[in-house]
Amino acid sequence: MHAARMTNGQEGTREVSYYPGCSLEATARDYAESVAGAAELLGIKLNEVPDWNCCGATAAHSLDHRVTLNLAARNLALAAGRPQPVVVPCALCFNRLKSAQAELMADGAAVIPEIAELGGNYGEAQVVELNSFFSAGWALEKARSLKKRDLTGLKAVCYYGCQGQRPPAITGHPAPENPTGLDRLLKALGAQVLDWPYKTDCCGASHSVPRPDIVHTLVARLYERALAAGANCLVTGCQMCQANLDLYQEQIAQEMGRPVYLPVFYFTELIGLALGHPQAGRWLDRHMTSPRPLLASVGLAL
Amino acid sequence: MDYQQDFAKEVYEKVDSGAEIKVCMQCGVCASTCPLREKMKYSPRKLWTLIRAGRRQEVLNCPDIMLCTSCYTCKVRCPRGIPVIDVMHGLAHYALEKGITPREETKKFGEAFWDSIYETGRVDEATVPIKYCLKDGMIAGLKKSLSMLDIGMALMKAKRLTPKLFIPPNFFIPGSHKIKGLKDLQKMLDKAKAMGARKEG
Ligand code: SF4
Ligand code: SF4
Repeated sequence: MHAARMTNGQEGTREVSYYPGCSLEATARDYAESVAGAAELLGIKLNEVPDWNCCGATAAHSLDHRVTLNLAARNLALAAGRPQPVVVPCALCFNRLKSAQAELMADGAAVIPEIAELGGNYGEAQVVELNSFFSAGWALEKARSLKKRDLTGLKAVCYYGCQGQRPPAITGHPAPENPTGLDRLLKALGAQVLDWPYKTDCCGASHSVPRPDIVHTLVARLYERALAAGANCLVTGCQMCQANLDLYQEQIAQEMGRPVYLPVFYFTELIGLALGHPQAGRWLDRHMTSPRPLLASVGLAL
Repeated sequence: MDYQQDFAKEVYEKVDSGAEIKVCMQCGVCASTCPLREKMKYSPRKLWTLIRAGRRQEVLNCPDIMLCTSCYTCKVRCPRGIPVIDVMHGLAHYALEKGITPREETKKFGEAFWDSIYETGRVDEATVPIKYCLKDGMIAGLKKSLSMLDIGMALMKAKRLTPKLFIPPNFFIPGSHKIKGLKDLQKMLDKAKAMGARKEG
């Protein structure tokens, strides 16, 4: 499905464009490093979109619509004519770029001249969420064949959150109420993947700063369900979800009046773990809820 | 109690996606699927009822309309295909335009993001919280940043945040990387904002 360009020379290397987004340069540096590591292991060359700017997502809600549209338009223009698809690790950026793209295609006139001068074709970028790119058939096969160890003992619930699949008219997601990409990837890596009903529920997103009570309520609900399913960890592909589930775990557990120990992995970290990336331990040490005790208890210590 | 007969018409005509709620059948799916239902005073369904009843002040001042996390569940599940989320955002924008700020903190947070985008082209997650805190003034800002200190410290320890969050309130922190096309981006932002203002004014 993804027509990634096969580069000459290195057998099986794919070159794609990469739009990291602001979070991966700041609080989600751990994610950024594991993305780079996992891509390298799977033979994917991430070619960063030059001079990209903020997609406008986080503040979209409180900013003028025309402003957020133009912010996204500039990125789409910069990504045109470059290797496709454009993979995006942040679910919010993905959603914003896709939404803006749909709107721009319907009404190109909304763009101001400075952007139009970039000469871009807004429809050209094939914007793809990183986790769906990494869970495509070819990637699973590659992961399976390069795997150094099975992630046996990890009982994972995959948490997809909101922005990667909804609304399907924009994201083009084939199964917005029951995405399975991460489930398949985790199975390929040898983890036990559990079913649970809260795959696509909301974590509270950017309310963590202005309204922490909202995030705490929603995250507590996710913990309850994950534990009820018998999980010993959560797996996500969104740095906002990861942060909300990981950072406040101790405090939320206190509020819940029960112990909670649920490390929250990025799927890219688990690719690194199974395929033996030398830096995997360093990525994991940036979590607030350390995954090390869990890994040690299931014989996967680093 | 405020009743403004023509408020429904105002919403249909002036609020982005406002006209969509005409076909609401009051089934309550949006209310039961919204993750924030228990944090809201009303629910989308009830807000639509209040709109139809002409309760202008109550709706535009209701914090619920700025609470939405943009999870899109309502939009996917409304059996009448109403983009509930878009109406919520539409109402929030409309209220702001009318000078009403139903939820100060969300608005300030948004402004802090805007400042960061304008100054560097990207969002600097280390400075946004500082700016957000300072929107309340220096003292309140310091208090608020202290309440975030635990998490900030831990993040720092985990090397996920650079220490500049704790450099006392200094608006322009050198080293925040600016994009190359910043001047053009700012020009474009100014223009986009001006175009927006013309359209709305
Ligand atoms: S789900 Fe749709 S039709 Fe049902 S109450 Fe909500 S807006 Fe109205
Ligand atoms: S998009 Fe907003 S209004 Fe709709 S269900 Fe999610 S939080 Fe509720």
